[in-house]
Amino acid sequence: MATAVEDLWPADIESPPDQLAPITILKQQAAMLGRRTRNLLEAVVRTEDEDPPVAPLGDTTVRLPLGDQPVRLRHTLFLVAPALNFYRYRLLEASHAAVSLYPVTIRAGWERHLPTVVEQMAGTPHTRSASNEAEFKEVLRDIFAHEETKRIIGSLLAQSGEQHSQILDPSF
Amino acid sequence: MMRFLFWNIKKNSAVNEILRELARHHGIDLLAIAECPHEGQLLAAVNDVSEPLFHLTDSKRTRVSIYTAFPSEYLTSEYHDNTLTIRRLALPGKVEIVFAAAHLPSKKYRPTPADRHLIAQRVSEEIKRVEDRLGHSRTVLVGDMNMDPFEEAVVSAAGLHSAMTRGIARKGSREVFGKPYPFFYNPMWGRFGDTTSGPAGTYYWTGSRSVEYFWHTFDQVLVRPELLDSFQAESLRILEGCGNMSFLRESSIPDAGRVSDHLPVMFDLDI
Repeated sequence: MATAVEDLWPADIESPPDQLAPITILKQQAAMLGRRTRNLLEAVVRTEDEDPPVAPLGDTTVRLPLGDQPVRLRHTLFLVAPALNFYRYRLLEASHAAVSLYPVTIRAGWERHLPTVVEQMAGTPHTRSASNEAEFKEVLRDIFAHEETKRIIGSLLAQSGEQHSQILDPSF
Repeated sequence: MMRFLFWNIKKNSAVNEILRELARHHGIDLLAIAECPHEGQLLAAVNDVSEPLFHLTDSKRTRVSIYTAFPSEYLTSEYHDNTLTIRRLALPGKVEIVFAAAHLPSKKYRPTPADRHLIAQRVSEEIKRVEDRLGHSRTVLVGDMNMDPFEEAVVSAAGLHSAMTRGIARKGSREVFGKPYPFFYNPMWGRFGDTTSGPAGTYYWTGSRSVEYFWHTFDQVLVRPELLDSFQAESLRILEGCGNMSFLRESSIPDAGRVSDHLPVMFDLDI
């Protein structure tokens, strides 16, 4: 005789009602860029597990007590120029604990190259932090309005309007 | 319902504005463009005023540029070479299909029937390979084949194997020398000459050979039997203009100087 399986999960499972997740905000902004540039420049968000920091003098990976679960998630916002052979530019990275939405650590792609291990452990001076949705949006607004971001977007747009398709094969 | 348009625009950037009007007037969901001289300028032109905004998809090295009125992530590449792109079109809430677009070499440069047969066979084999991998054959192939529907490479079993009626195509496949070959349905057979609606073909060319057809139907839509119920045969049109703009000269042949030497082909799929 079949036995009904008891549902042990609480009835009120839901996402936090008053907080938009960083990935949601990033995807919203990615869509906004396409509309602003008439899709000459688009943006995509890619999410991956962030490698946990490595101890500077050994190969022991720092893990949470549960062992090999990913510690953090990293969302990367790429600018994509379809007419430039789908060239991608890493505009910013935002990472946060996998099981929490905030705080978020944000770094613009143009600020500097990857930090050294020591800088990673110490927290690099170019890394920004946001403890809630409003602060995260403020950091994004700041990065998007930065002269370097505007220069990069302007450059990609200008080239997208000028880049001709490859020379057509005369046999067609 | 999704609306598709294929057009060889003969490297003419002036057609960009026409494409914008076509997209808006007909509510096109997918534009497949051969001989596109400048993908960015075409994108800017079609997105200049109309909604929804089109996305340029990644055609790799293929000489067919594809623009979609939906996010390009739903049209993923399964195969590409310089003449053929095969995509998986998987829109949320819609039936997944295979969309293939081709621009096959011109007869001016690949003159022998054997060459054309070899190219058609390769197209057929690559499509079959993708269908086998995806587990279905809901496939539509569009493009400038640079061959007429009645040519051997388009009809033969090892070539595109396209039949002139739905009844034949619905048999699914045909065994030749012990090997089954799947059919395509080629509705372009029903668009020849001046007793059908629309122009007599999609391309006009004349020379001084003893045999001249004048009108050709190089631009074709081929549909697999598994997709036939979704194909709206009456929607298939060879367009000769848009609004007040004619794509034809006064002599009623394609205006190659002002527009293109090919005419666009438009059709609907109910997916």
